[in-house]
Amino acid sequence: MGIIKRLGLNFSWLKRLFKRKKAKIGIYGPPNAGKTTLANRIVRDWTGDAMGSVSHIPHETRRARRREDVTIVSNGSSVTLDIIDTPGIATKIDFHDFMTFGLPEEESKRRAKEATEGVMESVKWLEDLDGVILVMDATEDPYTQVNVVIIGNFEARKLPILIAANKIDLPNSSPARIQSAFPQHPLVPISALDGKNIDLLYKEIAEHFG
Amino acid sequence: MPHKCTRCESIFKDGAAIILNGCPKCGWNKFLYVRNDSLVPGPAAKIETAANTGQISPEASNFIREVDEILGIKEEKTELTIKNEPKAENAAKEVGDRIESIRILSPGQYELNLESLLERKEIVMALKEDGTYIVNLPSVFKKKKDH
Repeated sequence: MGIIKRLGLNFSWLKRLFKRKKAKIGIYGPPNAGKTTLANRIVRDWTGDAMGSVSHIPHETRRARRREDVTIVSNGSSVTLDIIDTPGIATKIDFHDFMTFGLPEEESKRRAKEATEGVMESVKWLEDLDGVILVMDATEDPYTQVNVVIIGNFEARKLPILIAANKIDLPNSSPARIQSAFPQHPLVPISALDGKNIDLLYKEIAEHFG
Repeated sequence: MPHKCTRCESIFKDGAAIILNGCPKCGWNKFLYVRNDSLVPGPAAKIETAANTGQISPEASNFIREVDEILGIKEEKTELTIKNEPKAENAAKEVGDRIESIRILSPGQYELNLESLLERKEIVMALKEDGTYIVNLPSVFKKKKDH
């Protein structure tokens, strides 16, 4: 009996070995761009679960979260992905900024420390990815140090990039500004919050990461 | 002790009430206590000329600045006023050349050097701006993963 059990285990291991490799896709971007809102929408649309909590205070996501086996079907083709929602990447993290949102000093300092660790965790995940969805806030100027540096680095790593120009539900958003800043990468203007254009994003995901 | 305006260097007598609303000459609101004896023109003038004729080459001054940083010596005021322009250039260059991945300015205040974080596998932390560095050895010795 024990031998059969062991054989069974071995079979599952073999099955895993021959299974087609899934693409690991990281959701990256500066803080408050809407990474977790987008991750929540993708994961909820295709699996019914949620990914993480969202907040208007920056650096709400301070640990990377991974959701395996998200199968996206678009235009008849399906792609199975591991989605990694990452903490926002910033060059400066100051607890005073959190205090302006009404957080007490101790909590602000802890949040700043965790946010800093989060940036490092985001960077660590890069070694393990097959592609990146870069979320940018379309209401903000795209020419920031964070955007320029991370796009340059993703390109050097030869990681396929899909830009999600988020927050197009806001009247002052301008996805065209992002497109002209980084014309070398495919871009989909979306609203992760109300779901506008999200089908177009799924189509692009299936095409680029499938 | 008399007060000296740190911008226009006007000197105000001890207890001068006018400076409470800022320097009446230039509006600046930072003042330095000065000793009475330093008001004597002799030594003050000497310091200035010594500094001006010093003409340290940019490389040398850069080196001195770095050594000062390593030793944790804070830049003196005179240095600041003399080397205003080269300082700004150095600051611009420094961002690219900085070795540390994270600079901890105080608990809860961090500056991240994305270039270093993304491109180097090792993690180096700088404490404040006094030239103290912490190298995370496991990150230095970690083998890069092959894809």
